[in-house]
Amino acid sequence: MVRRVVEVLITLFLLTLLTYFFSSKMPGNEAALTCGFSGTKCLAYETKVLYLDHPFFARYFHWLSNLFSGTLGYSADPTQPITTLLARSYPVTLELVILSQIMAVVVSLPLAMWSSLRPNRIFDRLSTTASFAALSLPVFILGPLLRYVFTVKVSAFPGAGANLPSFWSHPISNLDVMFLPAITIAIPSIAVYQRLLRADMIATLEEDFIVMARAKGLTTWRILLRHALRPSTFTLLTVGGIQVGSLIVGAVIAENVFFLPGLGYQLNIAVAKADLPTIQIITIIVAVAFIVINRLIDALYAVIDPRVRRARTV
Amino acid sequence: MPEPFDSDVAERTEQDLLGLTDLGRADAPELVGAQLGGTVAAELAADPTLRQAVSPALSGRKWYRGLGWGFWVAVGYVVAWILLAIFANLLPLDSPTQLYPDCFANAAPSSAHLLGCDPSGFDVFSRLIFGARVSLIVGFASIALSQIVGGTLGIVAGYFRGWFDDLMAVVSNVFLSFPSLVLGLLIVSYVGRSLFDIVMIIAIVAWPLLYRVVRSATIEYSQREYVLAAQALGCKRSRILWRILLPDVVPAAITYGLVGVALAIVGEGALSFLGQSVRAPTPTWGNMIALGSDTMPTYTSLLFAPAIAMFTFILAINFIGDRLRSLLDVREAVL
Amino acid sequence: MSRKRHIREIDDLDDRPLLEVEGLKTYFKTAHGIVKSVDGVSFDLERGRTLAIVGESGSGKTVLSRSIMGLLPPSNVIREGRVRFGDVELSSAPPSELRGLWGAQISMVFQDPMTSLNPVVRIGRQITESLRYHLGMSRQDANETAVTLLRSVGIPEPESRMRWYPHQFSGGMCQRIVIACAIACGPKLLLADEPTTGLDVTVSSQILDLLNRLQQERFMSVIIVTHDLGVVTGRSDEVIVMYAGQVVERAPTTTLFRDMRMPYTEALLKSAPRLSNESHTRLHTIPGSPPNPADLPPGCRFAPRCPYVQPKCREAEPPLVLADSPRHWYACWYPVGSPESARALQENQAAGVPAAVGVV
Repeated sequence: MVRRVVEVLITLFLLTLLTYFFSSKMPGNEAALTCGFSGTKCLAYETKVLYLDHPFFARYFHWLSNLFSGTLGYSADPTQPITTLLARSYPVTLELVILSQIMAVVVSLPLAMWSSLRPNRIFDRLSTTASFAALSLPVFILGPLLRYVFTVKVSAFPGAGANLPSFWSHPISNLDVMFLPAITIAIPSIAVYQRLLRADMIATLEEDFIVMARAKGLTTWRILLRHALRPSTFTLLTVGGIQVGSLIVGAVIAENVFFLPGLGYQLNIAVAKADLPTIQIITIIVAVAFIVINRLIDALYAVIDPRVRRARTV
Repeated sequence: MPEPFDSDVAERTEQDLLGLTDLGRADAPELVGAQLGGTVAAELAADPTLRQAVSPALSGRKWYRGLGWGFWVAVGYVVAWILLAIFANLLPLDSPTQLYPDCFANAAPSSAHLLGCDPSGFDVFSRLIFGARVSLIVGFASIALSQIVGGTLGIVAGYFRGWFDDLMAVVSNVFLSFPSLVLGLLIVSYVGRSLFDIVMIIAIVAWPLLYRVVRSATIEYSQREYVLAAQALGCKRSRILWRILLPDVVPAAITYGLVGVALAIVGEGALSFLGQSVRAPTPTWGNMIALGSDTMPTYTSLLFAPAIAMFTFILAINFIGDRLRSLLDVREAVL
Repeated sequence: MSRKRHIREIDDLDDRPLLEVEGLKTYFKTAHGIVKSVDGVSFDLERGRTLAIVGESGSGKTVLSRSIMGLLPPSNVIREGRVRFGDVELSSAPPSELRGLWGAQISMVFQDPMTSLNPVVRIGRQITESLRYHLGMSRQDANETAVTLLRSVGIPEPESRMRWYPHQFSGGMCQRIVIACAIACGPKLLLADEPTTGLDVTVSSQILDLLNRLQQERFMSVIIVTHDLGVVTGRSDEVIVMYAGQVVERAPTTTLFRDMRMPYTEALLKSAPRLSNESHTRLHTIPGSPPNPADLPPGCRFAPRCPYVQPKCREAEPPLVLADSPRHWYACWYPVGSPESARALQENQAAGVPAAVGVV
């Protein structure tokens, strides 16, 4: 337990170090960003404040302590403190990811169940092939294609999401904008979940307790839902954890394809503008979220699988 | 008199026969990649069952049978693109970086410009062919680089274990804790944006995965008896590493490397879609797709041509990797 | 929660036996040819009686139990013959009718208790599931009934253990739970397919005693499938001996042990080790192996391994004939105890037939 915490801490430390290191060679520095062309006085002052004339590790620790104290600084646009930027962007990304995963689970579950009932028949072959194709379709290809079909050819959805209303105030129009990007990210997830679930359920259906359930006279769907599905959801959870990385990547790209003002969108703008502080912060936030979610899923797995949970007694 | 039947086998057959669904063998989860940091990367990072690595005895067989005609079609397709990319210069194409004034009159596909023009006045068709260069070079070179570095580290860590392995575990974990694209975006400003730089960037993002794969395979193989025998015979450790373990690990490395190539191409595509890969006016499939996406209804071929090209290419590579993997996963009866 | 009952009621037909099997055949179509797992089995079973089906691995006994119930794969199976259960023709009943019977009127207990239960569902649920589905019980009633059932199969503290998971129990306990699931709805027939094979001896005997007691309490018919003769003595009313998919002998238990006719039965009985034997007694075995069910020899299927084998045995299959005592059938040209068989044995011993050599 302690070892794990130490590992995580070390990883976080190295992570922030790497982030700081890699962003240290960018053209322009933090001081120039804040000052713009306001002159040398401003530059000199900012340089001192930001420790910019100190060696690398001093700068790094100064920056790190700033992080912890909540002083995140300003983005390239001086009127926007990074904290505000984050507060506005992360709900978008969060909603996108959650929505897409809900879609993915809702679609892949029935697909996998039906496939496992009739393996290697038409439906199964079709869905397996479709999944294979979907896995070769990157988000930055799928996204524009979907956009083309559904916003240009057929005016089903709005093309750009720059004016995204909040979900809580205007759910319908919010979903209207979010739908396409969510589906875009959901499709690779569907492919992954469908394949793994199908394989897992087929294996589960071979188990003895399924035969026993049949011998009890239960109907096929009842057996599928009550008995076969449960052990298979553990696989889903494990894969879900692994999927987070590709989800984040997909979200970053999808936000840029559909112009959604989320973290990924801001990150791309920041990179284009060489906006150091923003890049650093967003990178760290995303990486930390990634680690945290993975650890959570590990812990969750131990909690919900009764076999792992309890020690043997009788 | 008929052959007596082994009753254990008979009993097992009965059990098989009583299986209540018509089952083919359940597929192992396919490690087919989508995007950088996608399924494959994550699954590789989770240390999959690499137990079905190839036995040294495989080389004797006719391994190229049983791959199916689809496999060879895919191989042909990949090779065709590789050749196109290499010999693009020699083909009767328009220059990919020259502006053509006749484009401004008519941007649609015509006999002069087979796939039409893009908004700046470039010829889409030639940019498509030349764009393949970036994708392919980055894809193959970065993975080759990753293999060399990550593979070497992997074999050493897997064989010797100890402090080096623990250290490498921490280092590779740190790299893996960044979602791939985010890491790529982070270091692109540090490293630079020439073609070589981009190769390096993708290699940096990809090396932990190949490291893990090779390390797992090495750990497994070093438990085998012939390695123990070599140790007992007093073989020099470097000899064990390079002469014995390396050839064992190579097939698994190549297969996952192929998957890695697909991921690398997608990764570079993502980077260039976001405008962070090689600088204009060099064409890449990614930046063409981005431009096509931005100028949507007007310049359709600009979007569809590279999209279809990239999709089919990745599909072919994944298919090849998939086939190779099912080939290598065949259990050897004698091991 | 709907109180729908999914159960097929059976009329109590006092004059006829509860179960009648006639000429039951189950063949599987496989890549190696047609496997004749069950090749013409007939018997009947009264209410409240116990029948044991004995045979070695591969004799088709498991397939027989599944065939009686109808629990077979949907394709690649050839079925012939009749199975009548109460007033239902099991062999031709539609799946919906079968589902109304399975778990409610006919139940099955499988071999490996540790894998028969769903590892991620609490055992209470696994029992109440049948009760609520077949009998339409409310949740509360079902829970109470389940507790009573668990108590009657010998699980201590059933109220709290209802919420436990299977892995928290030992093998013997799991088998008791499985039995509880099986008898929950008060079936008229219980099929136990090697119920004690995976368990150690003391636990086995407890389980068998439990089955016996339940059978008497509930006036339930039981079919036990086993390869272990020790299970059969004292716990069954009638025994069927199976070999290579066919019934080779059938008799009330005491008659079988006292007066067996088929050489295979004799060999089985001989090969069972006894406490009364001295130490280092060489165990008697049956040489050879059972025939390949996809490629059966002509004539008697036990001929290659029989000590009394004669040319006639290899040519013609012996029919099932009635012996002197009531309800005792056997299939052999040279039954044990007859003068012809003694002569046959001497001839074979002289000729050095491997099965005959070493027979006392």
